[in-house]
Amino acid sequence: MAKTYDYLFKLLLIGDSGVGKTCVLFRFSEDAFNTTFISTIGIDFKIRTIELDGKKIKLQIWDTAGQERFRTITTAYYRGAMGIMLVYDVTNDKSFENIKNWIRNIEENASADVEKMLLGNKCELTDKRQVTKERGEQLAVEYGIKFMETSAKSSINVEEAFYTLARDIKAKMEKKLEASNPPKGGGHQLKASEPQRKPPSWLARCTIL
Amino acid sequence: MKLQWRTFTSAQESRFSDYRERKSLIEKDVNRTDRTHPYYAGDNNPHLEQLYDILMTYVMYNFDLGYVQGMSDLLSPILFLMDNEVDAFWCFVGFMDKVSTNFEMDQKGMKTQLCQLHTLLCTTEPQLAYYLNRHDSGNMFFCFRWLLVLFKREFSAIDILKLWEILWTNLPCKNFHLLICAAILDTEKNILIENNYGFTEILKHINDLSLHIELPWTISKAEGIYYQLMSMEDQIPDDVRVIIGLERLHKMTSMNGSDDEASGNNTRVNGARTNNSRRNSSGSANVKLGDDEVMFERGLNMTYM
Repeated sequence: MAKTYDYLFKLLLIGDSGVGKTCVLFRFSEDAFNTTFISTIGIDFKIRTIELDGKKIKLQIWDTAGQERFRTITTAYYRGAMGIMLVYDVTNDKSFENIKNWIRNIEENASADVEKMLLGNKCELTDKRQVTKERGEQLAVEYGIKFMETSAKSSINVEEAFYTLARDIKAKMEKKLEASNPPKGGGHQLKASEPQRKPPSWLARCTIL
Repeated sequence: MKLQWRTFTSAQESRFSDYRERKSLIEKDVNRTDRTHPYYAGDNNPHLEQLYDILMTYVMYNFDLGYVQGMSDLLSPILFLMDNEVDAFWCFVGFMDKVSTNFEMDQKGMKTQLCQLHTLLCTTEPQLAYYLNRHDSGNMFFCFRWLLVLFKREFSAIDILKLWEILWTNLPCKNFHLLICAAILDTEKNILIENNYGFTEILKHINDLSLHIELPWTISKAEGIYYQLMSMEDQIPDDVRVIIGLERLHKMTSMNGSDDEASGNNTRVNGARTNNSRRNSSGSANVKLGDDEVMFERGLNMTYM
């Protein structure tokens, strides 16, 4: 089958349980909001292909369980992530405080040059807000990362957030490629490499013998 | 115990962060547990409150464990069935006694089970075990959800009650749920291998099986695997014997080698034998198993009386 994209980016959503990671992802991948959602157990991912500067970019976005004790499993999936969305809930101060721990978690488990972005979700719930926009901005400045307030429910900034992260990853990657080889005509393509070869036939045979 | 948390003052709560955290997790999860099930649907559904109360009381009952995500999934079918808070609470306590290691901080129970599942596959499905090793999936993480909430997310509400009841009998053997995993994987094996799925596609495929797995067929297949293991009981490696609750024979060395190539090869001798008798069972629904036919038939009858 012909490849339908130029780049494949692996992104990761992390943050406390119930901040709306799955809803943000659902909004982005299906453009819908599901009120009868369920908690994420283990890990799952969704795909959406977007276009940036004429390049088709396939985003493979991983959604993780928020509770701390599942980190042993979820961190196994950090490897290879090119971008990470750190999500908190603006109506829950604790989830904002915990962003620090999530950052530490990334430093320990993800590659050093992973692009990060901070999202304050549920910004439509103005009367329940506990974390001001300024605090979010300040924390993002502290870590030198970008910040947006989003609402998966009212569809605010979700598209923008993913496009921003994807654009930053693309820019970083192209810069890196240019530095390592001078630009050629064809352009570079990145794909999760998988051996296309079938398992050797003796192996297939031996179990049926 | 219920009175204990019910009488917490907000001042007490404000000085007890651990408790607050658990409470808020339970609140969040109760609101997103089985809300499409008629028993829990709609706003202000009284059963949600019961679900909440039982989980809060369980926090008091088992302080060390507290509340961990996934527990609400295990409680929901029980409350639906018992339709009584007190009965459901004690049933839940009993259920948690069996599976609490899944939820412990170090996740030891989960890691052990994922490892046991891989060990089992090395004997029952050596080709698949080898394939998974070669595709970064030997850790079996893609089965995490199956094991954590005992297939709760994979089967319908009715099916899950049937399945859990079977698992609680400990028949036909210990860790029968791992044989259920092996049975589902046996069904999916060809798809995984023929499409040359890698780490991510395997996870996706397995996650997407949710609510598309046929329970009766899976159970009979799992039981078939059990009888086939028993039919060559004296030849299966000790670590597999232990998993299904048999005594060690101290004859065989471990088949669960850490080296991919080695474990693929090691298990071939054994695997060839296993698959010899299982060849047809993985092929089609019209099962005709040479030597094990009688055993397999018995398995079917036992389950579906």
